Amino acid sequence: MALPPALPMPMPGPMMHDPLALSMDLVYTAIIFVLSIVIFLRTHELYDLTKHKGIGYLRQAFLLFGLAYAFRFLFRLISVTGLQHELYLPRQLFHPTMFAVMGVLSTLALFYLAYSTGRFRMRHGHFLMLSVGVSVAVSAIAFLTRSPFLVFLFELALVVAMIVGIMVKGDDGHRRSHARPLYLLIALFWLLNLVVIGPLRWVPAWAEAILFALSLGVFFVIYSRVHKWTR
Amino acid sequence: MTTRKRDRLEVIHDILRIVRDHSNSIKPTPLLRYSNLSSRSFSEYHAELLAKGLIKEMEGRKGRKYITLTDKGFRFLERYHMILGFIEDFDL
Repeated sequence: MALPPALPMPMPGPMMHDPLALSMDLVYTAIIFVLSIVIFLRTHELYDLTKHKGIGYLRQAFLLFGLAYAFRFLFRLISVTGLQHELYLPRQLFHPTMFAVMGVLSTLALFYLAYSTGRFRMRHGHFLMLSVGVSVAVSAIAFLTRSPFLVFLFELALVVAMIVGIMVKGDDGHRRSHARPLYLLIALFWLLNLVVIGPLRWVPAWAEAILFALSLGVFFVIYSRVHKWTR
Repeated sequence: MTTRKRDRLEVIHDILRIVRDHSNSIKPTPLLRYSNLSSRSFSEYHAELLAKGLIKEMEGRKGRKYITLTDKGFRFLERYHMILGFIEDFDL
């Protein structure tokens, strides 16, 4: 008796994804990206007039955060929708490359954000060498070991150092403006965003929604302050 | 009475204000005197303001140098309080 023809082997499809969660992330990322770029552009004149280092670092931190968030979404979009197969992007190369790019952008952003507060005194050249060197080194290791977790761990250590540095150094006699807690929240929310696409990939949509709402709130507060002084 | 050291932006503001208040044209020597800086500090600020394009040097009829504000210098004066507010508000 002739055997029935073998059924073709099903091709591995894209990973399951929740379109609602992805759409929510798209809107969230777009808002964060636009706010970051607007903050960068609106502070151009203040920086141009003063060449104040703190203003310069703050602007660059937001530009880098905006780009890091955009790459984070791109990574999520391509990996959960299976676009990487359609675009013939090899997984072994695509994931580590994206982790490396996000790692450089966000680590630099965290360095710039910490340095903009003026709590960490260092010569400009030394600071640049340290921040760029460390960011590239961490990303290179993340690329070679294919471990985004390393970027997360290093950035966590950086945020802890930021918190300790800011707390220990105190106020320098200046009026407390509550800007530094906002910077720390921005850094912490970025870390949580890394967790969402990294080790805890399947975070419930409601938890993501809360994270996005809080994170957007902090960005809006900062934007409104920038708007107030640059009208 | 306590004295306090002026910070960099405040010194720049004072120098630009002096130039503006002298009909936007003042010679370097009186500017040095009014700015209440040492000659060394004044030279550094003078070079910095020229490099940043906040002031420019003009030559008078007898070949004397005069310092005047550029448009950017006027804009700095207009926005000075905004700049200070921003720096304070953002803990920079």
